[in-house]
Amino acid sequence: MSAPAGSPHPAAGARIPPKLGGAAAPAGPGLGPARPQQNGPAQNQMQVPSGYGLHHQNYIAPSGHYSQGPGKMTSLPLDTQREDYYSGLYTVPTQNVVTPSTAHQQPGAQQMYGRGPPAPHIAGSTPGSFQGAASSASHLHMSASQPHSSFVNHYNSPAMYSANSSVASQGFPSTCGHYTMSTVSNAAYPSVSYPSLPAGDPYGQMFTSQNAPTVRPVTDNSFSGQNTAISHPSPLPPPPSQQHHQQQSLSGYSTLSWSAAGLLSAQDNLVRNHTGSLAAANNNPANTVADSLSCPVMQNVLPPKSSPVAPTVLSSASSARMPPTANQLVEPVASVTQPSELLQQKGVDSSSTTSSASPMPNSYDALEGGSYPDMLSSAASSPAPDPTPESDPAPAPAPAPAAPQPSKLAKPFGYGYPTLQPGYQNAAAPLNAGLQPGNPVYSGFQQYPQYPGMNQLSSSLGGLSLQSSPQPESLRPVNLTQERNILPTTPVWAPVPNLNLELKKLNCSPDSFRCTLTNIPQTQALLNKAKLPLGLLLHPFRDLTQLPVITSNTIVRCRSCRTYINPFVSFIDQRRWKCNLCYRVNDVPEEFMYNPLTRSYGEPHKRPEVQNSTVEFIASSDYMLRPPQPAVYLFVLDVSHNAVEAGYLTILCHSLLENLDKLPGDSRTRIGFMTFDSTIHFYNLQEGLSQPQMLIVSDIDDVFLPTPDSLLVNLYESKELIKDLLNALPNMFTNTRETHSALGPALQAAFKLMSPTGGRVSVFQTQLPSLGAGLLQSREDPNQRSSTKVVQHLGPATDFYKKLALDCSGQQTAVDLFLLSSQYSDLASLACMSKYSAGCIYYYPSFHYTHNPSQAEKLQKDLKRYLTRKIGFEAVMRIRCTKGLSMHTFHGNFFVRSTDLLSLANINPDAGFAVQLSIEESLTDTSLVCFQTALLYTSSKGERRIRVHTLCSPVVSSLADVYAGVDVQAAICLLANMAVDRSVSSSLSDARDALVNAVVDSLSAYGSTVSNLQHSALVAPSSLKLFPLYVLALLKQKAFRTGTSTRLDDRVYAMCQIKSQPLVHLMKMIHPNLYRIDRLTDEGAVHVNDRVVPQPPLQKLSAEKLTREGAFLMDCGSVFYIWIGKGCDNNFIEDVLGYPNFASIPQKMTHLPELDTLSSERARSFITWLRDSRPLSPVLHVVKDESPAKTEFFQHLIEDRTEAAFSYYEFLLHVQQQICK
Amino acid sequence: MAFTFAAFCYMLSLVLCAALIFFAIWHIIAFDELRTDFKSPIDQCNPVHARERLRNIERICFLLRKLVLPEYSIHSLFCIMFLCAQEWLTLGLNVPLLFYHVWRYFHCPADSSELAYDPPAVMNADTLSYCQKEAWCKLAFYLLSFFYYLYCMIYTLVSS
Repeated sequence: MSAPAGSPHPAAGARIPPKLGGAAAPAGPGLGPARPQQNGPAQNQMQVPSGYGLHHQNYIAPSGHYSQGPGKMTSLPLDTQREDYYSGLYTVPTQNVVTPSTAHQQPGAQQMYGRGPPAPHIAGSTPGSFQGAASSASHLHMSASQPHSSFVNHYNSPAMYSANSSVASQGFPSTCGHYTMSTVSNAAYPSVSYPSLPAGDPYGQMFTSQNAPTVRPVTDNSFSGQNTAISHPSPLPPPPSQQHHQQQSLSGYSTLSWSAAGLLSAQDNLVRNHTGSLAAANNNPANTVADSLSCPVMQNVLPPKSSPVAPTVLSSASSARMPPTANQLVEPVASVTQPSELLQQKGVDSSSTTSSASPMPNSYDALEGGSYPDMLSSAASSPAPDPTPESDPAPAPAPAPAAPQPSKLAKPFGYGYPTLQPGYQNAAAPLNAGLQPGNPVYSGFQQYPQYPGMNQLSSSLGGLSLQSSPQPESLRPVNLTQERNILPTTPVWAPVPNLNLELKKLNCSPDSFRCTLTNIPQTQALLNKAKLPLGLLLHPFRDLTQLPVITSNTIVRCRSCRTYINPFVSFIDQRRWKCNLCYRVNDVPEEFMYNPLTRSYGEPHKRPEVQNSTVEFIASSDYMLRPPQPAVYLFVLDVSHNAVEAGYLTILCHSLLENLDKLPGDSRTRIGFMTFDSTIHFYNLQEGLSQPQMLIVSDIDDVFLPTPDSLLVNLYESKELIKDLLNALPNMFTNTRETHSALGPALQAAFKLMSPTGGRVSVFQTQLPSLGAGLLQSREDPNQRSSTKVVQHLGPATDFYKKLALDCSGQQTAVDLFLLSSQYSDLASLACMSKYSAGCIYYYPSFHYTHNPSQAEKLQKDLKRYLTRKIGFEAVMRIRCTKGLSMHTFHGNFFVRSTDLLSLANINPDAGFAVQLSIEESLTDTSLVCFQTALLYTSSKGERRIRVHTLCSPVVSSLADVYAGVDVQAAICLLANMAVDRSVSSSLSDARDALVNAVVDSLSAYGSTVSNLQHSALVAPSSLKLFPLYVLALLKQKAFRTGTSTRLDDRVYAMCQIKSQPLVHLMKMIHPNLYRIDRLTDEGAVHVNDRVVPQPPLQKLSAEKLTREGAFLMDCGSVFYIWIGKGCDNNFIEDVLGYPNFASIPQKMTHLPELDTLSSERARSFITWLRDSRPLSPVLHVVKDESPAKTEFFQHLIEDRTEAAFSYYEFLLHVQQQICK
Repeated sequence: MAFTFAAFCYMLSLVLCAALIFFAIWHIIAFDELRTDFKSPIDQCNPVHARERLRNIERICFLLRKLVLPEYSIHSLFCIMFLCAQEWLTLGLNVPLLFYHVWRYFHCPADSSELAYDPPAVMNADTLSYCQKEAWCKLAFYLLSFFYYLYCMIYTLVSS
């Protein structure tokens, strides 16, 4: 029965209803105060120490250092306004507690160390591929005559494009353009290719595509240049002088190359023509102009290159952080191109044809869907030089962080040389892979010997066949078993869809929207043949610094499919546009004719909606029937003995007090609190009361709200009461002896409370719910933790939480779960409450505010982010795609309301989604497909907003092109999502088999259809070379591993994270990054906010890389480990860690001291930089070589063998075996 | 002309088969309703409609769940009757579906005691289209068997 009562403070314990009995005999107030925290009789927390022992994330933090933090730990960059709050780091009153259970840490940790992978890799790798990367010009002189033909191609490509368009009516096969792309693209010397432009026109008509094949093998080679790029880890470009030199040698050799080509070709006439054309080109004064220009051009290229990683620094900040000088340098070049602009324009047109990368020019009409139609072409031509990189940030999210390198490099050229752009179409991927644009062409020559002369021959005979098209870099076959350093030293960027420049520039940022196959296969049959998953990965509500917000009365949408107007629609004329998803022709409304940005009329294609693929509309009243809901927050807190003992209340209340003013919301914001143990306590915070009033409902079978109106109160009106309550809460229950937890009834009450408005419920739970509806039993058998066979109980035990979540979802309420428990709490069942109500789940295993300070710190940081981050209420998300494609399975936390509509009660910036796609109808009549995500939500300020992302991808018809466009990270994340579903619906071993099969199938499909060389070896296209590694990493991930002791809750939590994390964070979770940090240099460093951030190369995850003399940083997404080798330089230990030698480093250390040394500064700025790139600040653990905590660290070295799992090499052999079967 | 047990079986199954046909049709309609929300997209995004829609989905799923057991038990009753009546051919025709039903019934996701058709699972487009296909197939099967039972009933009535 309810016991409405007075002040909460004095006798919470006394008010516990007697019906609890058992362990919780009502404790008088007199009993309580003296009671030591831990010794509640018959309470299950007594197992805590052993629980800690089992868990590996043990107290690594030395408590003495715990509160050192304030200054050092910078907060997230995304919410800078909160920065200063950080310093108010809560001080736990227990700095000197040394946890007893450190001793329990996993024994046997040692055994893993030093067990490098059996090193059967053949060091040499393929012949030639590892020759010195810094190939000098002499290679050019020495190499066979054929290679020179690449220059031919090189030189002529611009001409070819112009010719291409002018001769299009003669049935000129567009493949020509296709062929040349690759070479041109690889070359970093657009200025070299430029001069032939004027000459191109007259001679262009003489081209036939037969010319192209002679070039083919060479382009192959030049693409395999990535080999060298890989083995040549220096992120630095060759010095400018060298490049210039090389470039000159290039141009010097061009004539030579022509005669060489003449030897090969059967068509003398043609060749002569070409020679002629080239001679003309060389003699052309323009050439000299270009030569003289080449210097500035090169410089202009260099700045971006010298900071190849710069974009990640700015991941969310200014993405186009191009040194301004570069832009200015580009300008003169651009002006040189002016005379031939007409030609270029045509070139652009033709490029849209080739963008499909298929031999047949597809229906031109459809193609134009992407670019500007003829009518507007003159208008279109003007923007070409116009959008300088400075104005770029407007479409900025697009070329933002993930693919910065290509976009940066491409831009200067692109603007100057629009005709060259097609060259980038194939090159996008290679550049992307971290290539140094200077190298490839040369390294190509070194590669040459690999390819038999047969290739030459067959290609010259090959004529038009598509198979003989050049292989872009992403298709270069990589022999996996021979390639020792498969992991690139720089982060892997998302491949850029093979589109023309205009579209590429407009396309959505890969951070928000990625497709696993950037080249969409034409038919389902083709997709089946490729054996790769097709799907989208979304991060729709990402924190963006640049977001065009559009307020207009009419939001222009397609009348039949309701697609929002986007950059990829085509304007048929001034007044009509054609939808790019359903191809319906719509009218342009009058209002849309006026462009508010330029204040001009009659240019609908220049509206921000059409210039940006990520926009936000402020919705009109059509989009709401009821007024937008206010921000409503309800906190449901577990205050049973277990919870009080863990001590999370202190941290939570502190965080809340600190961030109370920063809770997103407006003047209507409402807040409420509930606590529960075996009863449910409400708090009346109605304005006017002298102090908060606690109301207890003990009838948990039929919960009711004691005073429905005054439980959720206006944050600003009742602020004092709220503060009182928050100050009092941590101490209110210190004497409780109540061990039961009536979570289910509390949730029902929360649901009732939230129903009228909707909002966010944050549930803090520390144990298995043991009373009332939704009570759970322990299902975990600890002996089964390391079982290799069956892992049971991955699904929910009861439908209660699922049903509740659906009810909540219907009332626009999301439930976020914070599980802080030391024992099994059946996360599999509890997580349902968040999964289906679009909430989020946080799990802090073995949480204790003193015994486990690192977890406490993590909770505190997470809470800060959680409380202050953006939030969208009553949201729905709809994903549309081009007719012919269909979505079938969604992954993430939401409820699917109708087949393409996701119901999201709340949306937060850290939520990621994935969608699986299938191809229902053949896409032969289109060359581009588009995907559009529209997220309609109520902002915390009570505005109804729609955020729209549009992604465009080309359609391809050949298997090779499909493989060329694989985005391996996206594919892995999608596979991980599918594997989670599989393990819940079927079994874990099924899911693991499916993962292995994904590798086996795709590689064998590639082996049998695309590459016809080396059948015995395990060959993957370069775009897929990391696939086996990532899958192995997945198999060793907590979610899917077997054989290693994994607690069920940990496993389930990992699965929840896989489902709901956006790709960037998920990738770190799957495959951590390892850096060596004891020798950080400023070489290749980037500058962020006046800070120099060193960029050490990535190391592969293998103990073989860990030298005893080094110190390594592992970035696992939510945790950082710094591993200190035994023989680590004392200077480093002293300068960075602040201890004289290795022996004196404490076992638990969670912070780097702020020392005034260069190396300390570097290390800290690097770590801060890494931290800043993610929303939830990770915890740092310093792991000594001999400390028991290193097991945890070594678990992440996924390339090594463990008792239960393959090493990387063994895995490859296993895959190979499976393929051969 | 005799009223044998077999004839009785066929008569009874004829009646029950009609019921099964109705079930199948109802399934098809239900899945169709689950699949498509007949509101305009803007209305669909409306929170008020969301509530309605969700309630609808839950109601349909609840009914679907309720119908599972009757359908399966009616069908297994057929099989038992035909077994008793020693109508081997008819039994043989029905056994595959019986096995399928048994598999469906016991092959529900892990620990959940509830049967299939819980809203989040059903709303997956893949599952939905599978269920829809299943319903169409069953409709076809029941229709054919209806006429087959009719024929058999007359045949047994006439022949003996």
